[in-house]
Amino acid sequence: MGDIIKLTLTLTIISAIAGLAIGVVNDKTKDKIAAQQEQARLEALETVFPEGVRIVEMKNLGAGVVPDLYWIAFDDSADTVLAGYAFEVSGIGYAGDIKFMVGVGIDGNILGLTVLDHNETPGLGSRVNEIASAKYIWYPVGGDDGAKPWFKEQFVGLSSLKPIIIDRNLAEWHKLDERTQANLRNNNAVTIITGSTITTEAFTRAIGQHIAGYLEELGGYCCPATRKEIEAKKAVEAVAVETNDNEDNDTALLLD
Amino acid sequence: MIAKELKRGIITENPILILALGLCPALAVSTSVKNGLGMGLASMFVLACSNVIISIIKAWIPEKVRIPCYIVIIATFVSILQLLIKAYTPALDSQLGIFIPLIVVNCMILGRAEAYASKNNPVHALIDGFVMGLGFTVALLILSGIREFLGSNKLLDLLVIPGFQPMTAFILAPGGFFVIALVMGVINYAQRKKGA
Repeated sequence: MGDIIKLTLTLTIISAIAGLAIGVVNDKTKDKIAAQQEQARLEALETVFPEGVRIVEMKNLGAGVVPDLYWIAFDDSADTVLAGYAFEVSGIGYAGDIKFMVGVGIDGNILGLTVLDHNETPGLGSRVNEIASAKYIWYPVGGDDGAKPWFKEQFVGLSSLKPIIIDRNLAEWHKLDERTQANLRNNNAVTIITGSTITTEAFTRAIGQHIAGYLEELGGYCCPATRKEIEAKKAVEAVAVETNDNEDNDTALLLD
Repeated sequence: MIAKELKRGIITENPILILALGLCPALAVSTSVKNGLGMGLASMFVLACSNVIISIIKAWIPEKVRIPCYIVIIATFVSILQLLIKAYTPALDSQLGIFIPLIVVNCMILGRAEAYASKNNPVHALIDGFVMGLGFTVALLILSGIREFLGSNKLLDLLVIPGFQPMTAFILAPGGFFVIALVMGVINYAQRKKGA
């Protein structure tokens, strides 16, 4: 009997101390972690939109298919002209969901794509983020050779309103010459990561399933819309305002 | 003494290559040198911390519940490490994030707690944690170096030999088994030759 009490007590005390320790660390790091996540989101937004646009975070209060949170970019030069939208989309990959952010222009063309979260096989599906650097190990100096993440790059300029075709006859995009790459673009087609067809399909399927519906509901892709029109059209509420480089004061307008 | 301890952790009692402990995480993360290094250092941190704590409280832990106690302590340090990595090195988090919880079930850490920390004083336990963690890291670097080179013709994300066609199988689990088996075989052969 006394034995049981001693065993229980020992485990209870150790668990309590462990819980307390994790609680303290969590308390100390949670602001920092939130800031890092915010930073990651900002960086993602910067990759999916072209340079020089003003990005505004929007909350969807209507029922529809549009996700609760999405982003709108305004062309900086005109300020009222819509440059595009960004959405967070999930596709079913080889190992769980692949979460990515995709920026689309008002014409439905993809402006940029970036992966937020995935659990794909290291060395295969995880190559969605690969930067195919042509640098060799014995030239350590020289820095950036301008290589971009080719898998995401190949989506830029494709239409999200038409199905994106997967071309299985060609090798990976970054190994092709410019003419073949242009041909792929004309056909609205991408190449696969060798050995990771399911990973590639996760992107094309998710884009095909969701983006056209979102754009239709937001009504933006038929004609360039002004900010006023969007606000009139949708019950939207802007929660945060991100100014890229010009600190203009009409941001308050969106917070009304 | 330090040299002797280092030799024990890295060579004569190397956790992966000699004691065959912690093979699961070793196979999972040794696909690239970067991952291997990150996982090795993370494991070393957890091992050193848990070894010290277990060594300090060993007298108060009843024999019957010692394993659950060890696991709680190890899991605590892993959780703390995960929060710290998320907060201060987001790049490492995106690369290693899903593998960090694997450290809890790394039998190298429980094995050292049971075999060493629970029988020795905190200072020795700390040294043991460091040298064993270092041995784990060195073994991971060897395995991941071979796998990254053969599997993708790269080391630290840089290309190695122009025109070399990489063998993707080495990045996958079967390749991992081959590489571990071959490295262990070479070490066994060398030791037998030395003994004879």
